[in-house]
Amino acid sequence: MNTTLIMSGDYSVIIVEGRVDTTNAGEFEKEVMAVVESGSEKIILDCSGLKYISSSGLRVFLIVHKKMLAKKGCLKLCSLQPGIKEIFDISGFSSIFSIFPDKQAAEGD
Amino acid sequence: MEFLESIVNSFTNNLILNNGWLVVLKGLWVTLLITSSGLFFGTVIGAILCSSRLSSIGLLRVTAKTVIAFLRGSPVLLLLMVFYYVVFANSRIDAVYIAVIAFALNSGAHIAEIMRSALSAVDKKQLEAARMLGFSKIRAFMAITLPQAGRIARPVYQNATINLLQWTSVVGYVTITDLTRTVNNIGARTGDPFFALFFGILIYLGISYLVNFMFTLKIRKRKAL
Amino acid sequence: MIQTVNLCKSFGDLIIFKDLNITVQKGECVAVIGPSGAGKSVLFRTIAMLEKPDSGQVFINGTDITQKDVNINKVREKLGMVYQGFHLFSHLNVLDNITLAPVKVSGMNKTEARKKAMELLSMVGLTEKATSYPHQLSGGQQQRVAIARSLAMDPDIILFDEPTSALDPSMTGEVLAIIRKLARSGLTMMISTHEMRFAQDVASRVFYIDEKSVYEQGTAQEIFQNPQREKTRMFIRKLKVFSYSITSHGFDMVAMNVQIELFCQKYNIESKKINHIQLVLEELILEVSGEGESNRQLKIDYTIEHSEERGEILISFNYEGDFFNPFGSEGEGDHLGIVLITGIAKNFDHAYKDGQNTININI
Repeated sequence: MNTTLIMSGDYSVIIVEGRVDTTNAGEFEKEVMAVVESGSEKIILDCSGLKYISSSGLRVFLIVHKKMLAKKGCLKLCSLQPGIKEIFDISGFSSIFSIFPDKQAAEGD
Repeated sequence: MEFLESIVNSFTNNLILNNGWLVVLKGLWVTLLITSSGLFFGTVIGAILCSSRLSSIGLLRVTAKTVIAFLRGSPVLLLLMVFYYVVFANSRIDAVYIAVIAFALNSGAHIAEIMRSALSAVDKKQLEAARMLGFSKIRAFMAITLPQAGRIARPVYQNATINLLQWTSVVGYVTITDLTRTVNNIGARTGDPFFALFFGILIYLGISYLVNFMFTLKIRKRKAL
Repeated sequence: MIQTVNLCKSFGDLIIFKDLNITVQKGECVAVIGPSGAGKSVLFRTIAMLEKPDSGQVFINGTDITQKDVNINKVREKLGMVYQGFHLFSHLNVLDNITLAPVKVSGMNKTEARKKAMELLSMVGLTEKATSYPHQLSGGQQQRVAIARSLAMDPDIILFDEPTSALDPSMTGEVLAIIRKLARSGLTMMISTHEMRFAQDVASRVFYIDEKSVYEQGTAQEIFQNPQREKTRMFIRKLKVFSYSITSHGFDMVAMNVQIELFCQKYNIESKKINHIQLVLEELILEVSGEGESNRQLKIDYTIEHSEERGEILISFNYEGDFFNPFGSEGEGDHLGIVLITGIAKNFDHAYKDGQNTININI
């Protein structure tokens, strides 16, 4: 798992790469929450490099989502690989999150 | 012209005068006798040694192995001399027979190894396949293994024959007047050793060709089958 | 027709089979299957007395051929063998290969033997190769000649020892077609083969050889459609198995995932499926290890079975402890893991017996 933060207009874009599972969900949570708590109102999670996610990873997504809702900010997901999209569909997360095919679409919305 | 004349001269001196050609024929006969008898008995000895070497009886196997190693390792001339001067020193056996024994033993050891490697090159499963068709062990060997081994061994056996022929040229050491000894004698007598010796080489060459030809004859016959 | 009684055979310390008992009736075609090295060839060779059994008996047509006073050559005239490597007589042409034994062993006259050989050659479709030598034929053609050579002795039984294993896939068909024809003609035969489909089509009965004996036997239907025993099932379905044990909460999941990935890649399992396998296992482990007091010893064993034939994955997940069915629990929490597992699995079940929970999941 590896995260990279870039600024793109109003958005803080967090690029997530590799696997997010039980072994590193805590670390992942810490890194993302650091961005949330730094005051970013608009966050995009770019999942183009995300290969694998388990329930532990999904929970982090959920925590971030709730935090952003409370802050009245917005959290968008983009570029989900088919395998990851499937997991989101199965878990019902697809209907909770705003998911976009790519970063441009997410920023443009 | 002069060259040709000198050859004709030498020819007359060496072969025609004093019936030189008769002496050469006699020597040739001795050489052929030793070679062919040596080859015949060598083959018999080789077959015996080879079958002992492949025998299931350990003692026989070890004995055959030792005998083969000893015979192959000792120079045939020394072997010949041991037989002539030591083993048969006090007997009245003709030197030619002693030579036959020595050469038969020496080539027998070589032939045993030729046979062994040829036999081991034959697909053993074919023998087994024959046995599965109801052949007895011996009949399967005769019908399947032997003809194939023979074919594999032929070129090496042919070489061994020619080697044997050439090695018989040392029998002069034990007073036998073979082809080599004869041409040497003639050369010494006429004082023209070059022609006599060269003529001897030509005869050996001729016999070698004849041997090779005979082996190819055998193949042609097989191919026609 | 063929019967072995408590047949034992070993080479030195290596036991090939122990107390092997088989019976083959007249007119039956029996397929002998099993992993390589299980002793199929040795069994055939022992039946033909090409290998002497350590103990036990072999009866051919009621005669115990392990006895010393039996003329084995006479027995073999009626007991044919077709080898994996053909082993035609390489110095003889096709016709002579076939006529050799009838003429020299049975004393048939040459013309008659030739006539019969030509009939057999037309049966195997090789009349125009009568004067060719074995090395001029393809593998499939050689094997067909070898079959004709065997048939020339009018055997009661033919043993086919992996008759197509040495052949290109393009040539197995021609050989199998002939064996099929022979099976229909009512010849008693035993075939050891790796061609499962062929064995299924042609054999009236099947012996599965493993663990030094006949591990399971039955009709082709029984063995191929509904094998009863573990190893037979694994062999028939071409199962590849990965097993793993977890004994502590601090186990190395990263390393485990790497091993799973290597196993899956070895059998060309697509990466999407690998993710599913890893996900299901991760969620199961989380569910199971989260439950109960953490000071309790964790003991999880699981296997991943990959059926190459069906392209299916079966995860069999065992854990020690009290009854706990993660699919049926209504406890607190979001059940996200269970949602994921049930979403991915084709089907799943849970069972509990003697302190062992077992979950089977198909993917």
